[in-house]
Amino acid sequence: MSFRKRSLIAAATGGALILALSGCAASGSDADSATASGPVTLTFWHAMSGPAATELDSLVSKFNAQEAGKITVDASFQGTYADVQTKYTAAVQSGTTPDVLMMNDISTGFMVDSKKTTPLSTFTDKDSSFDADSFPPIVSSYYAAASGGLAAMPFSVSQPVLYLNRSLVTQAGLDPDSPPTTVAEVADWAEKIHASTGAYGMTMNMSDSWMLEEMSASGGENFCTPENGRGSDKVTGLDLTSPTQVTFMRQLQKVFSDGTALNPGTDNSAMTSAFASDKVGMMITSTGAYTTADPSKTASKVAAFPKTSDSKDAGVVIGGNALWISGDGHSEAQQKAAYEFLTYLHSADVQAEWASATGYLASNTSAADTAVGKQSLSDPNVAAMADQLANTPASQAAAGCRTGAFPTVRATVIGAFNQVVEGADVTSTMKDAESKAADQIAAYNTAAG
Amino acid sequence: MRSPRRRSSTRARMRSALLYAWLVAAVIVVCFPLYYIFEGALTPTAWLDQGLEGLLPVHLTLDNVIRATQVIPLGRQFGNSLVVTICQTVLQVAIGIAAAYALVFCRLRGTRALFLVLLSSMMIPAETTLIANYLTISSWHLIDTVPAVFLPFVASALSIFLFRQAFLSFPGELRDAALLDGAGHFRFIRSMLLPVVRPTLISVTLVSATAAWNGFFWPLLVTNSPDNRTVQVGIAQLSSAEATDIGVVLAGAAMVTLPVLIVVLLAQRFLAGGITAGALK
Repeated sequence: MSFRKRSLIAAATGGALILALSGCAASGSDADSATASGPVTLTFWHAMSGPAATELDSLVSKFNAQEAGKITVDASFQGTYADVQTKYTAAVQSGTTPDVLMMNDISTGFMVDSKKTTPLSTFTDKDSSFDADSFPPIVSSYYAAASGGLAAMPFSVSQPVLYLNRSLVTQAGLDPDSPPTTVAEVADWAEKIHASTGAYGMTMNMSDSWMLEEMSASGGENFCTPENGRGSDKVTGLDLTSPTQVTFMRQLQKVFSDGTALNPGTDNSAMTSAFASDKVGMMITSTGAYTTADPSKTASKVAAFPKTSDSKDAGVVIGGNALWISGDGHSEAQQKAAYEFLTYLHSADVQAEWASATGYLASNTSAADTAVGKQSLSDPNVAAMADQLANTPASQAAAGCRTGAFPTVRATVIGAFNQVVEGADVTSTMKDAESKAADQIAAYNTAAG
Repeated sequence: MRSPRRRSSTRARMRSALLYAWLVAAVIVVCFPLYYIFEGALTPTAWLDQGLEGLLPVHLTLDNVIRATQVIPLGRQFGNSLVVTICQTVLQVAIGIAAAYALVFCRLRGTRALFLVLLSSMMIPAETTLIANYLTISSWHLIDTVPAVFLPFVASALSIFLFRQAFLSFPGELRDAALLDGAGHFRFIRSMLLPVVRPTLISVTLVSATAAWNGFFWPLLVTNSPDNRTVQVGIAQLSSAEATDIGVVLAGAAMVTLPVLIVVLLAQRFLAGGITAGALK
């Protein structure tokens, strides 16, 4: 009861943030610096840390050198995506929004609802050199704007894949080069690996409902109703109890409850290091974990994300982040310069370099033809990841759910699923989660207006 | 043949052995994280990833520390953290003493109501004032400056409350005597009040200093450029969810922990003194 109340409040707060955003016109503190035709300085807030931050800084310096005297990008780290979202909300109210903002996949709904950014399509419509086909189809459909074209510039793209530990799989008498293709087969392999090696058979992210969303998509099922929020109507609820979903949740329930699968809880890095140190046979997680999971790049085999049905809509939802151009309070010159910076970050060379340094997948299909891209793709594991992205159909299921209430409902769903892996009944527990999530989404929708 | 005396001494020895075993266990539990931070800071990540073997200090190198300083301007951020901690602590303690003194000794009208208002401000969660504080700081054009980091915290209801409670137990007769002898407010505070409430003074100082040093979200919110940030915000950029270089993260953590550790070791004497002073009063 109290949890329900608290999460409702959380959802309403998310909506209230939106309300705060739309109720206040940013006064444009930077506008004066750019009305003249002189050099433009762009502020860029990002959430990249660790090695990715170092690489991003070097890409920005290259751009600054290339545009010397015209555009200077001032990039700064602003914490986790949640921190960035709070800071952005505060900045909107005081009129100090950055020119370019990096935001993660699931906050796309929030960014669209906030109406404080200029859709990317505004610029690409006028740019004859822009090639809409340079993105993998699923990437364009994920960030599609309601008005057509793209809402934001996709920057870092990732997808979950299946990692197999070659030595453990072989010890269990299985062939890593003909990997399991369905969740049922993965569960079956996990039992065999656990029985013959004593190591955990499998593991996957359990810190939020991400994997459940992906497995719904890989069965061609929408996670949110109506139409995953991709149609003309706003999302009002979740769908967690279709036959396909109940089946794969039961399969997971079995491997988690009998000790075959490792439940890493909220500690994703513990999961990756368990895989890297031969304690788990198979791991389902982001392509971004590759360098940490297998530093030698030969100890593992990367296979496609397992399917949960043979529907033709089945696919894998992308993750990662996109870049948003601030509208209100930012002069045309600044927005244009911001667009130039984004086109640079989307260019084939930059995308190839970014992908090879970070483990993200290139969001520009031409990146594969660059020298750096060819070098990366010579690793069969990286090639497998790129193939999966290229082959994902642009279906509604694979585009994934879009709602501003996403961060809140994710916690609700994983809470319910944690009860399931402890032995609770799948259908009734997930039905409860559906109604709880519907309340949270309604609270967000009301607050967001 | 055992004499009763012998038996009791065996029992005493057993008891002290058990006590020491328990103390050793407690020391290990408390010190292990510190050991891990400092050992990890000096060991390459490749060794740390080995698991238990990584805990042996056999591959020591300064490599992690050097790489950490390449990513963020640690020296500069250390300086910022120091400035923030000193300013915030000194002001919080000074304002706390002055406000509590006024509430307790100055016999003003409505102090009870005023005190209740102060107390009620402690019930407001910090998150709710975040945006309002940000807007205030922003309207003063202080975003991305070092003062913005500590200005909203120069007065703390908790410090005022703690000082007030301590001052209340100060005997009124002593104060009257001091005033008769010609002591002014400041003289009285310095020479009589503070020596008596030293335990409170020390604990309030330590609490506000650690809070100032450990601050993360507010400093992150109001600063943008690495040169104006505190070291806590700086080291956050060292770790990432998917590809973490544990050695570098631990190097950052070690550098942040070290000053606190030194302060605690140096202040230990005063801390213990403060506690006994309170006990004997």
